[in-house]
Amino acid sequence: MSTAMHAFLVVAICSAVTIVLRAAPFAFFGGKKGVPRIVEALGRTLPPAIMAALVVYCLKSVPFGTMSNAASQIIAAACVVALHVWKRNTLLSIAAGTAVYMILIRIM
Amino acid sequence: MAEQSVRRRAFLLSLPVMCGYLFLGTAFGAMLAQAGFGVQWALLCSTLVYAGSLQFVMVPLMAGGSLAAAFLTALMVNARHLFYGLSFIERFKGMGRLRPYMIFSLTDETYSVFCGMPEGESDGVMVRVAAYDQLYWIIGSVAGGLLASRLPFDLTGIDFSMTALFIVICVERAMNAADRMPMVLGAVCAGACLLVLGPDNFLAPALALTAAALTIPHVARKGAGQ
Repeated sequence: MSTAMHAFLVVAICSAVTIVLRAAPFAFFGGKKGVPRIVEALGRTLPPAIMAALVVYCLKSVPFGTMSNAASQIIAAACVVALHVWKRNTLLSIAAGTAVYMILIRIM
Repeated sequence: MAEQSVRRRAFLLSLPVMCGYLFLGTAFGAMLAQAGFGVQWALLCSTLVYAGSLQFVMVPLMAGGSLAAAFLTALMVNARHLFYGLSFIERFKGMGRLRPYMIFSLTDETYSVFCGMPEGESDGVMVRVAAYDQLYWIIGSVAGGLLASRLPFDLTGIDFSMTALFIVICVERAMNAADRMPMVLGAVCAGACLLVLGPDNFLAPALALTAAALTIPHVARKGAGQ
């Protein structure tokens, strides 16, 4: 098999698997019978839980990486929280937090 | 809302994702180019696969390795997507011909922007946010393929905007008392899985654990005959 053919098949497989995974909940529960109560309740409680898990996912290198990188991430994350509680301006919180992080990883 | 203000609102909502996607997309395109795959491959991957972390681990598999490994990797890395759709089953109903694209394009970032939206957000805004996000990702990866390692400035760290976006959404949701318990649960499950399983492939088990923990109260209530 040529390299291009192999690469194309890898892309096709990855695309198909991702589509099936993303569509699975809609295929299972999207029909006329509707969503079971328990899944409906999950649909309400999962988003905040997933968002919190995604924050942990973004910071996953903290316990395993270097001390200075961990500190940069924690400090920048704390800045985002503080700034957002104070001003509640989404773009400001994100821009300022990212700037703090970019500066910290260069000076620490 | 007029067409123009719908577009404007969608653009503003997608701005944080733009920062993250343009940077990460560029990094992906450059990585692909270094592995010997040109711009057309960046375009193909970001259009058809459109899944950030999977696309990065896919690159060495495209250069070599078995197709079975590609299948298992895709399954492991993207298993978390099983949980995202659950919150939008009702919302995407009635979106007609837009529905398949809404499902296809439900990445972590687009999902999180949707989670931050007020109830009753219009279909037009939602589909534009989804499409703009993918456009940023495609533009970034093609630019990365063209520029490869010849970027004129050092943007290392700008991908923190994604982390910041997720944190902001968490802070917003924490204002709502009903969301606090699930958030704590999600963070604790993810933290525990991270420490036990390590940083690779801990998210899907963490989400499964979270979902199980969130359903226990309902099962218990049913068991008690209420």
